[in-house]
Amino acid sequence: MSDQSVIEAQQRRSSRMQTIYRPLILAALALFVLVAGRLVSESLPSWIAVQTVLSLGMFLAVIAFGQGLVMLTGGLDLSVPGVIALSASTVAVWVSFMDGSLFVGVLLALGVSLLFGIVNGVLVSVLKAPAFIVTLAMGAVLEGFSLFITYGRKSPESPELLVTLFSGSGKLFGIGIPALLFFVVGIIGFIIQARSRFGRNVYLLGSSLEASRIAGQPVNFIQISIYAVSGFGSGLAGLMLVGFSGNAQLSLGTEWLMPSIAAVLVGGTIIGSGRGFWQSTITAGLMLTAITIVIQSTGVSSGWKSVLYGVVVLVALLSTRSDIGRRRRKKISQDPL
Amino acid sequence: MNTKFGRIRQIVTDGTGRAVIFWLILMTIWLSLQSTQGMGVDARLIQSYLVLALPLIVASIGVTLVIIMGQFDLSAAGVIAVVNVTIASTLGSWNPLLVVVLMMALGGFIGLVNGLFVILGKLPAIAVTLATLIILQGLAIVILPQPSGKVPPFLVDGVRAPFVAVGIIVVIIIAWMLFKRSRSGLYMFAIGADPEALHLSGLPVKKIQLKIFVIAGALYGLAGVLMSASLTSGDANAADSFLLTTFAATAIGGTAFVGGRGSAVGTLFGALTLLAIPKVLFVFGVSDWTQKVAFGLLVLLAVVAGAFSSLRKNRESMLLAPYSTPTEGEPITATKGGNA
Repeated sequence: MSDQSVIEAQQRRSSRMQTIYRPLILAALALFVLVAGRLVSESLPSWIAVQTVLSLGMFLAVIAFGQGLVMLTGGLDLSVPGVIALSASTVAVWVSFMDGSLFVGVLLALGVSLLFGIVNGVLVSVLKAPAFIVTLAMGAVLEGFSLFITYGRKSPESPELLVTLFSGSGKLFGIGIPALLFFVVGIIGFIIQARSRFGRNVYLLGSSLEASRIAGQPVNFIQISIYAVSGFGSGLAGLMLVGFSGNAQLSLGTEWLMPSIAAVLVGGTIIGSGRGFWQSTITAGLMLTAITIVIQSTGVSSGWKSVLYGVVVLVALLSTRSDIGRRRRKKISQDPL
Repeated sequence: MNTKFGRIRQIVTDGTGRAVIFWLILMTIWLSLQSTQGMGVDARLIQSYLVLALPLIVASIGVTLVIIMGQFDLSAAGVIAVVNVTIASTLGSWNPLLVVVLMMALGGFIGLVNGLFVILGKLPAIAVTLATLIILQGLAIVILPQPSGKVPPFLVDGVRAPFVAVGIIVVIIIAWMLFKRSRSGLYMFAIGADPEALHLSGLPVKKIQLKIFVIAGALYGLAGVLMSASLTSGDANAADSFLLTTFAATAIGGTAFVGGRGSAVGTLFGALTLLAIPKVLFVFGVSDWTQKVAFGLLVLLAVVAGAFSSLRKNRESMLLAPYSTPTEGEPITATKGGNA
């Protein structure tokens, strides 16, 4: 009986490690990176830098939410840049060349993003095609479509409302709106992933597809909704990035794919294991954004940013592995049988 | 049904056979349209097409080997980029043979690092190789920020000399035939089909897996040299498309993404097919964006068709022999084709 309670206490401790300590450590690391940025740039750390990290971290969080769900179930969504480009060019072309209303443009952009997310989901779940190559090919198709929409036109201007909302020029209580939205996105994501029925179903599916099926879950439907959420998130991020950057270039999304995957991995999610937590993902995103800002302020080649991202991911992978190892060893040594 | 029909069905359901048929159809369309539109067909046209295809063929075969073994490797595009910028920025006047050996060793080393993380570290291959891909692409930009530099002229002329490309393709096919029947080749298929069973029967599974990662890395290195020869200069972003095209070539070639089944010859024709698509679209005169869309759709189609047929094969083999572990090819469908 005491053995049982020891095991339970250990499991509680280990899950606290994942749900509370890991995000705190990552957030502290993000702050540390900004403060250490003092070594390379006089202007760091500053209130503006903190706001920038939160704003860029918000865009990253919106993309990483769907990416994280996809990775929990063993896939990768590489169509992110394509969806972002399509959603961005849809809304920008609709508003500035078709003279349509922004509201309809936003609905259209989100609609097509959702649609192609669903197509990804159907191909992966029903036809059992490997996720990363399906989404990669879909990304190529979507970039082609975006090229078609903007064909022969100069890159369209962004709708004004989006610029005010997402470029940081609009302020609430003296803080840029995107920085505030970071917390809103964080809370909504937490509720969906950790507290909703959908979130629980995703975790179950991720830890075992068979168990999920035997438990009577609509496995295909859940898998399709995961990819739909990911497509929707990328589409939403596309709208935000149109406002943030001031125009709708086709390359808007290319630099957000790898950071979104890296944030999920650094946050401790193990691909296809059904283990991983949203609060760690978004704080990992903050840390990666802080690293990017510090590197950019030094003016060294942007290649070093990628190198550092890759190294951080490898280190994070090794750290999640040592977590698993410790738990397995404990389980075996504590096993009453 | 008579056996003749069974034989035809066997070729069509076989991944390699399907790839060859698909390639032949595309080549016929391309070359006939090319000649009827007065653009002319000569040996030089075919030659340049093959030279363009060589790097993709070699890199895709590396990817295929890893997939047959039941793992994934996304780092090919990164290795090719680093090899390309290294040759263009520093090795421009070196002995070409030394360049080939050095670059293959570099690729092999990166494959070894991947393998150590995946096999000994027990980490998901897709995550590890994605991380090495990001690192290598970043390094390539650091080494050569702007497209520039030159590739040893002997290397460029050597690859473009008459019959060299055809020769390399023949060598690849023969090497695959030998490797497939070698001990390592057989183990590679067996590991992909059922690693647990092989481990239980006392075979050095980890050593073989590491070996395949190293071989794949060396092939990416060679692909990098070949790409440099056809590009004649250095560009850190030139290899980005290889991430999609290597897997697309593998899928069109009929290699199952679940491991244990596949063929490098199929992949070879998959790569040739993939590079014939833009040629056909070009003679049809379609525009830039349609080309992108058509390309992506065809890749999706190939992947879905491959996944679908391996799904069906899995069901059939489970029905017929619940505990057998087929090591290679599809003997079960082959016999079934005869008496269906």
